[in-house]
Amino acid sequence: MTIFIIRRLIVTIPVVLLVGIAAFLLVHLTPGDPADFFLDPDSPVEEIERIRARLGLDQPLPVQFVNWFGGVIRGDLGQSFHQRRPVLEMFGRAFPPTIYLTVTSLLLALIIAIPIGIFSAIRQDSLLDRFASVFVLIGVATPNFWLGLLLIQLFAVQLGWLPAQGFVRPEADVWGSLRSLILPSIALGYSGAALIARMTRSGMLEVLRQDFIRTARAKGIAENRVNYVHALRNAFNPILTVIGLAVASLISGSLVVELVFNFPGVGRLVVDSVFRRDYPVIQGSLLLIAGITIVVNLVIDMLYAVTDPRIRYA
Amino acid sequence: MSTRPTRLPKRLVLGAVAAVLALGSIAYAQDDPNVGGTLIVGFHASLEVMDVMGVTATRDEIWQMVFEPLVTMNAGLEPVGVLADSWSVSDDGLEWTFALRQGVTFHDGEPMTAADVAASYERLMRIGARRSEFVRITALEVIDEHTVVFRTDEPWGALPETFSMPSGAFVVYPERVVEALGEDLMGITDVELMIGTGPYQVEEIVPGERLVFTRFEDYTQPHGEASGWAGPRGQYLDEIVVLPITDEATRSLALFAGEVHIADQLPPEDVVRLDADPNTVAAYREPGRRTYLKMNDKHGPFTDHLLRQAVQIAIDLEEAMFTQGPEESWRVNPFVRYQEGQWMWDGEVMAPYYQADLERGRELVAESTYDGELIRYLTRPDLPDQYRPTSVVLELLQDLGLNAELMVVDGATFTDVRRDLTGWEIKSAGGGSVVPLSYLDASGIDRNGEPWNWVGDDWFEQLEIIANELDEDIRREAVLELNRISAEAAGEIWLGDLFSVVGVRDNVRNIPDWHYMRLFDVWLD
Repeated sequence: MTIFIIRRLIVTIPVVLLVGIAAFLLVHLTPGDPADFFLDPDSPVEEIERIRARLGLDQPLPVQFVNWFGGVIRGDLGQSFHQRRPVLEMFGRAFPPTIYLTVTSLLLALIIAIPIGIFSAIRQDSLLDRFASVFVLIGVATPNFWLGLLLIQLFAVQLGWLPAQGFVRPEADVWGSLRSLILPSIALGYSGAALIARMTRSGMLEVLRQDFIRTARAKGIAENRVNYVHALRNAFNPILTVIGLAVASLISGSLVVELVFNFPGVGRLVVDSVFRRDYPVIQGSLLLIAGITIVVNLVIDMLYAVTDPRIRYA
Repeated sequence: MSTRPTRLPKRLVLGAVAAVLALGSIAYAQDDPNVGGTLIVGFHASLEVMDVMGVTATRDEIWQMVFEPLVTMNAGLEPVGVLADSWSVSDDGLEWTFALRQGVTFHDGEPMTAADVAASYERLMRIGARRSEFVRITALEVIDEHTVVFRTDEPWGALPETFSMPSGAFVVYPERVVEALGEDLMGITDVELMIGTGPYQVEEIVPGERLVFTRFEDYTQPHGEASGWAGPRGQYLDEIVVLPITDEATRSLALFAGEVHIADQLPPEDVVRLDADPNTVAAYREPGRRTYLKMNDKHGPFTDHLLRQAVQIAIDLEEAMFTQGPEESWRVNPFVRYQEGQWMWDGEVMAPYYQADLERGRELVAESTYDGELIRYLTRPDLPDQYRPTSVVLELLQDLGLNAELMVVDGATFTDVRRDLTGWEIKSAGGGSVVPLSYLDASGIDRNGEPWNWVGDDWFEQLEIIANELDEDIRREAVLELNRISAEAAGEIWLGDLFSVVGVRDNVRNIPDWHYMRLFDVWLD
């Protein structure tokens, strides 16, 4: 396992390098000039050029890349054009809200999705199964920003139970923080829950039809033990894969949900930076999000070995 | 689209009456002010920079609470002193003497003197976003602690107006802050350097999350009447908290949920709901933003004057502005600038050029050299003011028999493409700032800093009068003539003004109906 992890970490290096090059090129080839966001449209051309020089954009592209990537290797992702703060510092501030949001969304998705998936597989074609299918269908089909607006309208505007926007940091107020997480977590987690529930159901159905389950039942093992120990454990690897995918989709989904809920996380930071063409922040974000996705996939691969003893990594 | 009789839009005529009334129309509540409390504002922009001089992308509503300029503009867009008590110009028009208001202190308790004005001016000329507009000033001399003299190389009547421009403003920083900043811009987190003379001081800034301002107890009020950014500034609130909420739907919902007292720049369609809810009110801020069309006379079919005139004579301004929402939230205005105050608005000047006459437009197309070339109509959906009229305008172009198609891009791409004058034939455009007379020149210059082909010597002559003439009446006549020249050339079609919709909770008092929100004037019941 250790060798496997080291190998995977070594493979990560060229991946990060490629992501870095791609991020830099994509950002610089996209139309739009960051200097335009500092000045009125009618500003003289020479003033726009002065701002470009201040931002280092008057340098040839290869020089800009070497400067930026040299910094990345030293652990410096550069400085935001607009806020004039180190990108890492901005991430340090924006990351916790996104992590809280992603983790609570994932927990919510798992708590709802796995029982629904299991029960609808065990009670296939029952009323519960049909309800679960509707739940899944709605979850897959509902855009999370729209769901977010509906939730705000109902729970914040009409009922006044929960805040409509913003994030309270737990160090300031734990209860307030939890309240500020509820609506965005539901908006973000619902589609993930639908996906996981669907995969849990189909995975369970497939396992429940296998010979060893019939054998277990023939041996007189209790039905609950057959379902939750024998069947679920064997159905879990594909579910784990979907959870990995769901984490990636939660991170990307947070871009929109954070905007709707005015959540000061990485998603909003990225969206704002893209609109303003704040190159160092966009590039840094892409690198960090790629890094997180790689780590999550690595953890999921390691969990395969935990859930299925037949899997051995060398 | 049908042919319409020759007429000037009704709203255009009514606008003339409105313009006369506009000067004194700042509607302040008559109630006794209630002192204390915290105002929470859901603001449309995420604030990233605070260097009022160095960039123009700051937000006037925010920085005007903290920093003050020598001169500002009133609701008539006329220059009025803030830190300047008065000014006078020498007989030869080459020396402007500014007497500073005495007893003014910065937020750190130090007095504001002529040395701070001189240091701020020098910084403006080094790194100011609008420094090129000050090049006619050849020297600044500090006469005594409260008097400075600006010398120019030729008479420059627009000097006080240029000083009053809120964008990239000539504000006064303490000399020590200027020294500390050096060549750097003031960042959003440089709170310790955000020392001004304004009615509120910066307490805390968490970028992207909140900005907190507290009342400056030693504030000394400017003289005169509260109008525009001019006059006394209220200090009723203990604290003003600004929450950047960039999504307008969320901003609106936060207001209805009672989480903010004010939500600015809401979509016009929210007005019905704001009025229906017993806890909220819709307020309009005028003159708001401008929207217009620019035709490319340097490349493609619109180099032909007749083709530009065809679009101009055929367009129904009222129909185009109807796309902007409820009638209360806009007005037709084919003038190059607003209708307020010194702009000398006169609907009759424009009447011959805007007839909503499709048949005449078709005749002009037939007389032109147009031969079916593609006309790319560049627009951006991220600015709804500019995007909404595109359906009507596109239909008009096609009704005129032009081979027009939409070219819809995001904001940053739009900014790039519009500089390439071979990349588009007609584009949507707009503006968000109220500017004084001397800023007329922007409409005649392309994004590469060169005049449009339709800009001739007569245009520059009028501009010279507007910029340099010391006699206000002569300047204003020149404004009318310049508008006429602009309309004759048909390089651009100004559609109208959009009033910003502000959602307000019912306990908020004293929201003026001016273009900018004077947050420092608000109080809570």
